[in-house]
Amino acid sequence: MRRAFAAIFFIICTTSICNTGFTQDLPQKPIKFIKPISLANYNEGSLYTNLGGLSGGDENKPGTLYAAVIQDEGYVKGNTGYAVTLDYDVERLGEFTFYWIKLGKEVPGKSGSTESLDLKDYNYLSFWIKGSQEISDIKVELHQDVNGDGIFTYGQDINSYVYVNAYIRGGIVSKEWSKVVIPLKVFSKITDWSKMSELVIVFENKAGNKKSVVYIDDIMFGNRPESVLSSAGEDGKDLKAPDEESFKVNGIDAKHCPAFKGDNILEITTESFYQNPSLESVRFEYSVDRGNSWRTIGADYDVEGTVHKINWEPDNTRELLSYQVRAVATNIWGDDKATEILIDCGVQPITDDEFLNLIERKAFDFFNDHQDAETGLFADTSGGGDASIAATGLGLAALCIGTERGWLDKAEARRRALLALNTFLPRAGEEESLAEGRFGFFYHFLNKHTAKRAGKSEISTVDTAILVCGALTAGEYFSGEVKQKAEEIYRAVEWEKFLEQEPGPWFNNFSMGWSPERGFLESYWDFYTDETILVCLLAIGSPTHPVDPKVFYAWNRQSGPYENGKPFIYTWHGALFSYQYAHLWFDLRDLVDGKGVDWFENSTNATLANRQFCIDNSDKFKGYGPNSWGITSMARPGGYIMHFGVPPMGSGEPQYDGTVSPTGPAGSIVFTPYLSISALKYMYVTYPRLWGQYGLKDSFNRDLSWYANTYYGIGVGMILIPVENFRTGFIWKNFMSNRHIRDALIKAGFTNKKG
Amino acid sequence: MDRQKTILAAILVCIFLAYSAAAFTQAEEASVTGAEKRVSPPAKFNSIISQIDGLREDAALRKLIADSFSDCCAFENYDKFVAEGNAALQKPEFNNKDYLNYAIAKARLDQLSCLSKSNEIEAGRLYMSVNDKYFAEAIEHLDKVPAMTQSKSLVIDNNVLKFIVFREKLQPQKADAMLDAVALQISKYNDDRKICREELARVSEDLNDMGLDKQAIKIRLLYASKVDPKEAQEVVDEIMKSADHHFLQNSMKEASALYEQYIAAAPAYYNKEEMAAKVMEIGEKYYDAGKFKDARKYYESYIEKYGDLPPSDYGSYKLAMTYYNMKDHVRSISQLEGFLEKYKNSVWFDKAFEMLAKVYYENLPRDKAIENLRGLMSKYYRQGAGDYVRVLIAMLYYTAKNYETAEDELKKIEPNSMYAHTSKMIRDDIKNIKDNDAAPTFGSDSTETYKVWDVYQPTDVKVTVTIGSELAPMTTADDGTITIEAPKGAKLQMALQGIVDEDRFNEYQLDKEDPSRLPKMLREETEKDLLFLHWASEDGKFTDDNESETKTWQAPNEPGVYKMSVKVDDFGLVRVPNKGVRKDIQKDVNITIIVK
Repeated sequence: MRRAFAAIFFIICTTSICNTGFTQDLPQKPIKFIKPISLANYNEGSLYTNLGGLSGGDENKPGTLYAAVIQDEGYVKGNTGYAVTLDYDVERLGEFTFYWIKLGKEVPGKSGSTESLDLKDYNYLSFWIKGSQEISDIKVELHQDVNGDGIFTYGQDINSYVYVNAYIRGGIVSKEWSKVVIPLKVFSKITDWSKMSELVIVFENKAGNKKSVVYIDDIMFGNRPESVLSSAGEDGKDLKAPDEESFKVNGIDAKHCPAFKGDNILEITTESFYQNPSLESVRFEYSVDRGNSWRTIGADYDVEGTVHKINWEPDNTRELLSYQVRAVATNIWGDDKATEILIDCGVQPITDDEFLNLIERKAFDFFNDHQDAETGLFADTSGGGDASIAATGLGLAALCIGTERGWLDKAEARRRALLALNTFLPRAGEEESLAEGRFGFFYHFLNKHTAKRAGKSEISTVDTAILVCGALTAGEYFSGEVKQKAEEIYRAVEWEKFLEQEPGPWFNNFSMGWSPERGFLESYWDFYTDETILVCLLAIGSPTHPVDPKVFYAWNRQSGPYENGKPFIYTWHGALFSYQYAHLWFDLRDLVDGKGVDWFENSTNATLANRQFCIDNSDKFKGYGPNSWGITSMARPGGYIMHFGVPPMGSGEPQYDGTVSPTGPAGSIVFTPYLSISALKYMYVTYPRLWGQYGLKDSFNRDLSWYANTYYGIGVGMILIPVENFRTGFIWKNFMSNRHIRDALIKAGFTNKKG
Repeated sequence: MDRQKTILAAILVCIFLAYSAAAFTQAEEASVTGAEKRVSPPAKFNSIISQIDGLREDAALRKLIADSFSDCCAFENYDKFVAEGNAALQKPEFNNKDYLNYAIAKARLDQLSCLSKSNEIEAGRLYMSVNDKYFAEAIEHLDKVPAMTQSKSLVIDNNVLKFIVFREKLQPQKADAMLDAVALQISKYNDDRKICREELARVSEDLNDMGLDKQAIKIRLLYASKVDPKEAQEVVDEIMKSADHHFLQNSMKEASALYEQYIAAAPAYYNKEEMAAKVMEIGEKYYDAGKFKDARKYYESYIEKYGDLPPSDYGSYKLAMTYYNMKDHVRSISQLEGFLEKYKNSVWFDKAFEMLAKVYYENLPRDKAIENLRGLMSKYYRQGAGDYVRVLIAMLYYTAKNYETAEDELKKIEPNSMYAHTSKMIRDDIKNIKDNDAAPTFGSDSTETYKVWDVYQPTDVKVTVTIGSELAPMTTADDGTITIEAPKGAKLQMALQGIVDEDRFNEYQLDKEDPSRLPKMLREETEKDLLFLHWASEDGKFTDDNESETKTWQAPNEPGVYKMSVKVDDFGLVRVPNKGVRKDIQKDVNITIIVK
C-alpha cells in the first residue's frame, strides 16, 4: 500500500505538482479524478441543459411553477451568464409544484422520451441556490428509468428524494447564494445509476411557504472521496489560492498590460485534485471597480492537472475601463481562495463598424438558429411556436448576408435556401406545395414542421410579398437553381386575385388577405405604408400576373409635418416600420415616383419625426430621448403591438407608455445613419439588459425597467438587413439586380431625380 | 402598331439604362464622394493659422477660433486646415501654439459634427470610418494645451471640448470627470467671485448653445459644490429662478427639468424645513396652474421626505386634492381617509372631511355612498361639516325618491346650523312633491344635483377694462367669459373689483399661537392678504410685472381674437367660525379680446 502510494506520487511529481511549489501532503490512499458533469449553467440563455436535455416548470394548477432564464446581476452566480429563475406558487397547504430537468437529450423521433445519463462514476450532486426569502421544504428527486422507455412513469420508474436543508450550510435556502452538495448515496432507492433520467426540484407547501422565487445555477455531478464529502469543507481552510507568479496572458508573463482585443488565453497554476481532493475548480474573474465586485470570466473544473487556461474576450464595447483580473480556487463546498489583482489593463475600444458587425451577427444568429431542418421555414419568434412567411423571407436574406460575411458556408446556405424555397413549390408529381396557401399566396403563419396553416391565420398579401422579396434576393445571390425556384414562386403569385377591380372606394387596392372563415378581408392597402408599396411594386413587376401600374397611385397619400418638421406622406398608424419595409429591398435613393415623391426622403422625414416625438416627450417617459427612440411595432409590457406609431398619422394617437424599440433606429439606419448608430450604441451601452442571445432585444421600457425577452423574426430582420444595406448595400444590390424588380420601378413611373 | 411597340420598347430600354446607371452605381460610391463633398461653402478658416500666429489677446484669439468654426464647410477643407496646422506647429517661431492645438481639435470635432448633421448614407459611412481617428487626434491636441497656455479660459474651453469627445464616444464616467474638472477650473478662475460667476454663465450658455441643456445646469451644480455654501446657495437659487421664468413663459418641459435639478441639488445648501417649503412651493405652483400630474410628484415627495414636519397635514390634504382633480378617486379616497385618521386636529380637517364626503357622494354607487357617509358621520361627526354630510345623505335618498328617509335625515340638522336653510329648501321641495305631486326640483343625476349643495362659492370678482380713459364696453357670456373689443396695439388697463377675501382672518389667525402648524409660505405671510392673483395671456404682452389687482395688457398689432385670464385664489382657507358665509376656491375670469 505504501509502495503503491510512493509510485503514484512519483508519477504526479514528474508531470505537474513539482512545478508549482505546492508541497502539501498527499491523501492517504490513491484516488482517481473524474471530470465532473456540468449539467446546467444556462449560459446559452435557454432552459436546455449542457447535455442537450430540456428543463421546465410544472405550470399546471394546483401549484404552479414558471421557469425562465435570467441574466440580471445579483441573480446569476458569478454575475455573468444566466441562471434559472423558478417563480412558484403553492397556495394551499399540501400543494406542490416542481422544476424538471431531463438528464439526457430527447430520443430522436420519440417525442417526450429522453436518453438516460450514466452516473455510476459520480457520487455527489451540487448546485447553487438562492431565494427571494428564506425557504425550507425544497425537495430534490432523482428518477431512474426502470422500464427503459425514457419517460418517467410513476409507479414503474424509481423516484428517490431528499430535502435540501440537510445539505446546505445554514440549513435553509436564504437570500444569499448557497451551495447545495448532496452525496448521491443518500438517494437510497436508486438501484442502477446508469439509467438516470430526471432531476426534479420540488416545492411544497408544508409550513405555509406559499409563493416565492428561487434562483438556481451551476448544477453538476462530481466525484470526490467519501471522506471529503462527509467533511463539510471546514470553510475552505484547506484551500490555497492559485499561484500568482505563474499567471500568463497568451503564453506571456503578464507583468505589464497587454492591449486586450479579441480572444485572450489566461493561464495560471494551482494545486491539483491529488493535493487537495476537495478542490473543485479554478476560475478567472474580472472587476471594473477595483475589486469591489467581481464577475466570472470562466472556470476550469478539470483539476486533475495544475495548469488552468481560460479563454477571455473582454467586453470592449462599452466605456473604456480598466479591467482587473484575478484567479480563484474553489472547493466543492463553494469556498473560495482568490489571488490578489493579477493585472489591471484597458482594452481597445470597439469601432462603429465592429459594433454594427456585432449587432448584425447576433441578428443573423437568430435566423441561423431558427430555421426548421425539414421545411426550411423560419420561426416567427425565439419563443418556439410557428413559422411565419415574413420571417422566412427575411431569413432567406439572412442566409445571403451570413454567407457573404463568412458566418455560413455557401454550399450549406444554398442548401438551406433551397430547402425553404422547395416548401413553397409543388412537389414532384403533386399540384400543391407543402406550404399551405392559395393563388400563389401563403398563410401568414405556418406550422414550422408541416408547413400547414397555423391556427386561424390569414393568407397575407404583404407577408407573401416579403417572402417573395427574400426569395428573389437569395435567387440573385446564389443564382442557378435557387434563382430558378425563387422566380417560380414569384411567377406563381396571382396578384390580380387580391386586387379589387370593381369600381368603388377600394378600386385598384389590394386586399390585405383572405381566410377560409372570412373570405377576402375587408381591409385594403388603401393608405400609404411601405407595405402597400411593396405589394404594388411586386404585383406590377410580376412576369406572369402583372397588374396595371395605376395601382401604385390608387391609394391614399396624406401629407403633414410633425410639429415644425418637414411634411411627409404619413401612414395610417404612424409606426416606424411602416416607413421601412419597402426600403429593406428596394433601393429608392434619388428616385421619384410618377407623382414626384421621393420615398427615401419621405422615410427619412418620418424617422426624424419619430425621433423628435420621443425627444418632445422625454419629460413624460424616461425611455424617450434623443438617443432613445423608435416607436414602432414591438413588444410592450402588455404584449406585442403591431400598429403603434407617432403623429402625423391617419388614425388617432395610441396610449404611449415609454417603450421604444432598437428596431426603430436600426431599421432607419439608411435614412439617418449618424442618429441611428448613436441611438443603437447609446441603448447598447446604457442598458446592458437590452442585450441578449440574439443581440439587441426587441424593445424596452425604462420607466418600468422592462426588457422584451422574446426575439421576433420581423424585429431582428429589421436590424440585420438595414444595417447590412447601410454598410455595403448588399441586399439592395442583389434584390435590385432582378430584372422584374427593375421592370416594376420603370412601369410604376419611377425616374432618377438627378436625370 | 408594331412600329409603336418598337418605339415604346426603345424608350423603356433607354429609361432603364439611364436608371440603372444611376441607381446601381450609387451603392458602391463610398466614403468621400458624399454630399458633404459636393457642397463646398468657403471655409472661414482659410487664413486662421496666420491670424493665430499674429494675434496677442486671449479674448481675440478665442473669438477668432469660435467664429471660424461656427459653420460647416467642405470636408476636405478641414483636412487641409489640420494638415497646415500640424505643419505650423512644427515651426519653432510659430506663436500661440496652444491656441492652434485647440483650433485643430475644434476643427476635427466640427468636421465630425458636420458629418453627423447629414442624413446621407455616404456621410454616415464616412463618419463611421473616420470618427475614431479624428476623436483620438482631437484628444491628442487637447492634451497638449494645458501645459503650454497661460489662458485659464482656453484651458476651460479645452476641457469642454474633451467633455464633448467623451460624451460623443459614450464614455460617461470620463465625461462626468471632465465636466467636474471644468467646474473646478471655473471656481478657481479668479479671486473675484463675480468674475468666476460670469465665466460660469459663459460656459453654461455655451453648453446650452450646443443643445446640452442638462449639462448647462449640471455645470452650475458642480460649480456650487466647489465654492463656499453662501455662493453655492446663490448659484442653485439661480436655477430655481430660471425654472420660475420658464414656468411663467409656459415652457413647462424646461421648467420641469430645472425644478427637478434644483430639488435634487438644493438639500446640500438648505435645511430640511427650508427644503420642505421649496418642495411645497413648486407643488403649489403646478397645482395652481392646473398641472396636477406635476403637482402630485411634488406633494408626494413632500409627504415622503417631510411627512414628519408639522405642516405635513397641509401637504397631505393637497395631495388628496390633487388626486381628486386628476379624477383618481380611488387614491383620493384613500388619501383623505388617511388624512382624517392621522390629522384629527388639523385646520384642514373639516375641509378634508367634506371633500371625502363629496368624493363618496360623487363616485360611489348610492348604497355604498350612503354607507360610507354614515360611517364618516359616526366616526368624525362635528356640527357644521357633519351637517353637510346629512344634506348629501338626504340628497341620495331624495334622488332615489325615498323622501321619508331624506326628510328624517334633514330633520337632524339643527336650526342654528349653516345648513338649516339648505335643509329647509329640500324639505319644502319634498313637501311640494308629496302634497301636490309636483316634479322634483332637483335632477336625478347626482353629480349635477350636487352642485346645488356645493358649500364652496368662488371668490366674487368683477373686472373692468379701461382703454385710454374710456371704460370698454363688454359682454359676459353664460360661462362668465368676458368679451371686449380693442384696437391694434391698444393698452388695456384691467382692474379687479369687489374682491372679498373673507377668510384672510381665519385659520392662520386661529393658529397664530402655533405657527409651526402652517407651511412656511403661509407662516411668513400671516400679516398679509393671502389672495393670489395670476394674470396670463396667450399673446400680446403685459407691460407690468406685478400680480396685483390692476394690470396693463398691450394688444398685439395683428388683428385677431386673443385670450387672457386672471386667476384669483384665496388659498382655499375656508373655515370661518361662526359665519354662515364661506369664500373659497379660486375664481378664473376669462377675457376674450377681439383686436381690430
